[in-house]
Amino acid sequence: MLGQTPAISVVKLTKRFPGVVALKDVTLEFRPGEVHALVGQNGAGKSTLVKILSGALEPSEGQILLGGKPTRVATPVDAVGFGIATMTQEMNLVPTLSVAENVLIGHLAQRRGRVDWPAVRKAARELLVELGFDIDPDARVENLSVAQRQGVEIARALSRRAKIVLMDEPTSALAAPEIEKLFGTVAKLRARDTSIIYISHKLEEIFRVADRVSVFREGECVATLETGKTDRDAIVRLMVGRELRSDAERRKKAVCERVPILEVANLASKGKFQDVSFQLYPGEILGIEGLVGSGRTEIVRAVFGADPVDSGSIRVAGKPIGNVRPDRMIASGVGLVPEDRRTQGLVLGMSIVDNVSLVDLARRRSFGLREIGVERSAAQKLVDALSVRAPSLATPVATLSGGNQQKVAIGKWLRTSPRILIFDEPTRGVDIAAKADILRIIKDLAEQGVGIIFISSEQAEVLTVCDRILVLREGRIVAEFNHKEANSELLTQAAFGRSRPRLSGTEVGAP
Amino acid sequence: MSGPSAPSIQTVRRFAAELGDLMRGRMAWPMLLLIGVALSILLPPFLSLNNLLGILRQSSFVGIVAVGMSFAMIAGCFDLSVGAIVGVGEVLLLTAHPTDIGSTLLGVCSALVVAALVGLANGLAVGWLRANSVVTTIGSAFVVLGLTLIYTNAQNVTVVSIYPALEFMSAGRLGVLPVPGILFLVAAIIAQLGLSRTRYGRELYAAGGNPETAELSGVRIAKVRIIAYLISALLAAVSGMLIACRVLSLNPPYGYGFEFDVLTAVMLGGMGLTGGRGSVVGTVAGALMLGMIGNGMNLSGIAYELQLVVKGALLVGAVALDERFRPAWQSGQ
Amino acid sequence: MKKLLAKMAISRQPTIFVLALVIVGSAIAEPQFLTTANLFNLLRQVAPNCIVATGMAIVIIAGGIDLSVGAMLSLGGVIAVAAQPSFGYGLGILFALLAGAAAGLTNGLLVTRLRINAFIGTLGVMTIVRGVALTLSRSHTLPGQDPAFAALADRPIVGIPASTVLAFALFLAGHYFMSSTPAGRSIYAVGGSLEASRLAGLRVERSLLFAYLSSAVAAALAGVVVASEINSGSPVLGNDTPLSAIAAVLLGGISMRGGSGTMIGMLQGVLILGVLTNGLNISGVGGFYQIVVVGSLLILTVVLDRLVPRKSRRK
Repeated sequence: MLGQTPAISVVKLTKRFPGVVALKDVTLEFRPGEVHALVGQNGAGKSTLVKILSGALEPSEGQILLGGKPTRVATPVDAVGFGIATMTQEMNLVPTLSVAENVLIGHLAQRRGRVDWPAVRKAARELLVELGFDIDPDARVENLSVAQRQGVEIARALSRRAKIVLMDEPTSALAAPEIEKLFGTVAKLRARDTSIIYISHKLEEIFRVADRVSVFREGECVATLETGKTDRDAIVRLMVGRELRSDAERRKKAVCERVPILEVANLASKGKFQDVSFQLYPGEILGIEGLVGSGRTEIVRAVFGADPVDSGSIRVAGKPIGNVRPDRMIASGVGLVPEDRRTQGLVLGMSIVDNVSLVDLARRRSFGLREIGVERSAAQKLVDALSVRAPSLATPVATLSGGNQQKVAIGKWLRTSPRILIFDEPTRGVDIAAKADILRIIKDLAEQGVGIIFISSEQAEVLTVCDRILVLREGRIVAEFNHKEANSELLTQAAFGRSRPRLSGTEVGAP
Repeated sequence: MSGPSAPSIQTVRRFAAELGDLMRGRMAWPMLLLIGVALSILLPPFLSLNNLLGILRQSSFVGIVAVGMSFAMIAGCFDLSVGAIVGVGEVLLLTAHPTDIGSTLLGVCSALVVAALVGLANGLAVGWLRANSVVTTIGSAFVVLGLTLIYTNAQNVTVVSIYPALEFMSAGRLGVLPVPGILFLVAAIIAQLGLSRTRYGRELYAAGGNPETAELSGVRIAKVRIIAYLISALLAAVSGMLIACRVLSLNPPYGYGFEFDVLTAVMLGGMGLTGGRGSVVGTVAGALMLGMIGNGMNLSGIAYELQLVVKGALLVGAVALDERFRPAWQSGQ
Repeated sequence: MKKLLAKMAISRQPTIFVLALVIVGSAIAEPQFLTTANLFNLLRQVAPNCIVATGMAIVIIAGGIDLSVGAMLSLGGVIAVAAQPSFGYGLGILFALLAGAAAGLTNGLLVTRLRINAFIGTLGVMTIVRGVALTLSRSHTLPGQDPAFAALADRPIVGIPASTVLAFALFLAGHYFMSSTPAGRSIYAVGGSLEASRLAGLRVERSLLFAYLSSAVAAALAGVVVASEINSGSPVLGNDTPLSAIAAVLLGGISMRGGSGTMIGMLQGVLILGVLTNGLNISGVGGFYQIVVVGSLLILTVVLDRLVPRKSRRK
């Protein structure tokens, strides 16, 4: 393998977004017949690299070399044309068409202008069999399992003679036997000299299937190692970098009440999370950590009633809530600041006043009329308290900066004096000053006795702010730490590590 | 950098952008003025008081329905059954032979009740079961039309005289203003106040503009949409009753087909196709605009058939413009 | 409650059973139904709707919709008849089809280039087309000038009226196109997932334009057929055409979401609707009840179509 021209490589690749540098000066090469893994924490840059390679984004600086030649991959269609196949979680298959048609989409076998269905089926079947899949070519894609759909995607890549296959978290929705099969398929691709770029959070898989692994941290590629010559701990250490300890600045007011304000028992939703049970105490900030896709958002949405669950129960202040729905939870004093403020947290076309007044508890009063004066003064108070910078209360929130938007999304709930407030990625896409403001707001709320659930992909934040941290992995709670014992290495180990049954206190696991 | 007295390109650009932002969604009244001025210049008879009041009266019938349809459209739904419901209002009022207070009340109440039922059905199908609003309301328009035809046996419905109060409402004047015009403006004012001063109004905009956010903020989207369809249906029936009192003679298909004028008026008034935008203020301007343009075409002797073509082009144009000038943060359809 | 309705929708029997049910039902309710004379009548009656529905099916499978078909039907008839004195009926038919192509192209461009919502865009075009029909005919029903034209639709070919043969031939062509040609399969792909089709390099705009063209030309053709049957060009026809066509397509198992369904299903849907209206006719139930029935059917199918969940992807 050494000395061969790399199938694709990047040289000094940099990608800037407003306010953040997602990739810094990355130089890597991916060789034919090699499985090259990319690992790193959330936001470390691997997804950005994959997006650039697949044509979804273009780099701010640097080059992509295909077979040694500088090439511009401007759109996903370009990438496909260059022989780069991408497999992501949102699979790009046409669900209503058959397997065979999807595999050969765009170049169906023809005979005198007519589609030659027997030939199409044969070609698809051969490819699938070669990859080790036993799928009926006439089956409709929408009826297939995730594993089978992946097989179809890979077969499609092969039918297009893809030389480079990007796999983004391919095993996240697969069961063990399906994972084995996928590894077999990867081996077959490798034997055909395909270059495979494999992103995964599952370190044990990477050691099984990859030849080399590149570790990303904060936008840079900090190391590229041969998997045979390294081990898990080394990689985790490279991912984490400096150790972050829990912030010494702890709030004075200890959590003295031991009566939970929220009790979640055995919450389960097929395909998303299982066996979720935890309590939240008034004045406590409970963090939920885990990798992207581990189920954090799904769980809090289910708690809030935004999504249905298969089983489980929720109690607020001891009272069980039947038929959990957002307006019921709001009436019980629960609020949710969602992950995507632009589509879920705010009505972009409305003003600050209107957004802040949207959650409506005192419905019956005043015959449904708005008390504009009351609303305005409440909104003004919030704007001042949260330091929202805006020309006026009537400004449509679409024009505000990310940080200010987020503050309005939060402010909406403060008006309702909630008992429990859930924050899902509250500082994402927010400038530094606003971040500090928002964290301060959260801490103040806790001090006032509000129970807080806090989700964030930035470990530093979680460690600074939370009293207790739950770690999720593949939809299950695998560890719980209190703030004294938590540090970034432990959190990362738990998030990446093997599933262990959860014991109160620390995780029992690999040192 | 240019000298202190000359504005730099940057500031000019920024000013234009801000002006654009301001104008977006508020184009209706300036356009109305522009059209009015243009027509006054091109067609001298346009500017007579009589003509203008006539425009107001005519626009009112479309306008009242348009005010109602605005509610549904702000919620992000179409209501193409309003034409058939106008027919319901017309027919149920006149077939009650409203010559005294008793029969008048009977006619009015029956029209409103039937309209409410249709609105409820639309609301349940579109708001609760989330069926496609265009096809569903086209379907319900047909069902209503069919039922109306069955009820009248497809005959003309004619009355000779009606209760004086009704006559006043549709053909009379208050001072110099035609009463339907006053009713139109009153309905518009109440509706606009309702949108801006009630909690429901806020929920309506939220449900149309960002349904996910609304849901997560505790808004019951189904309920909001059902109420919008009810309002749309009731106002359509009201307008139908007014039209009936004015013409005193109805022939099939009664109000069916009216919905396109109403839709055009609403779109000309700057209503967004995707919901969460627009206002009754704009719709009023749109209705008046449509009335003016129709009047202008009449004064120019343009054939009725050609007018249809023009109106269709207006609808397409308004929709295309909405697409072009839709703010970047609005979700697409 | 919603779940109950959804379950009802999922257990919807395949179209062929519904068709059989409707036929049997009509035969039982109305003994006259199964006579040769009536069945003949039935075939003749469904021909125009079948032609329109063929085009509509293509558009809906592509993920779009065309509400202008009714006005187009009317305009097609008007043009065919209006051209007779000066151009003869042959050219008249050609002009009608060309007008259909123009309207279809307009619809397609509005949707693909200007990205206008298909419902509203075709609604606007509908009004324009209606206006053109009225203008051309000066709001009159134009009487046919050529007996040869009038004889066209009913001329028996192997004993079956030409209009029916045409409708069936068109159905066969449509079936072949959609199931056996790459272009037809592209239309399925575009309707099933625009994004995936684009990423796969398919020419999505071309497919959509073709779909809208088909729909409008089919409507114009149906208009010619109707004009021949009544030997006149009427500018006020077709108000319920989009309704009947969409209902037939949906009854045939084609989903409004696009990407699924077959032309055979469309044919079955056309027949179901045809048998229903025919049954109502011979029972003496007036045309208005039929409007109510068709309208209700449309709402029912739209609601059910929405309730059947598209198999969501497991994440």
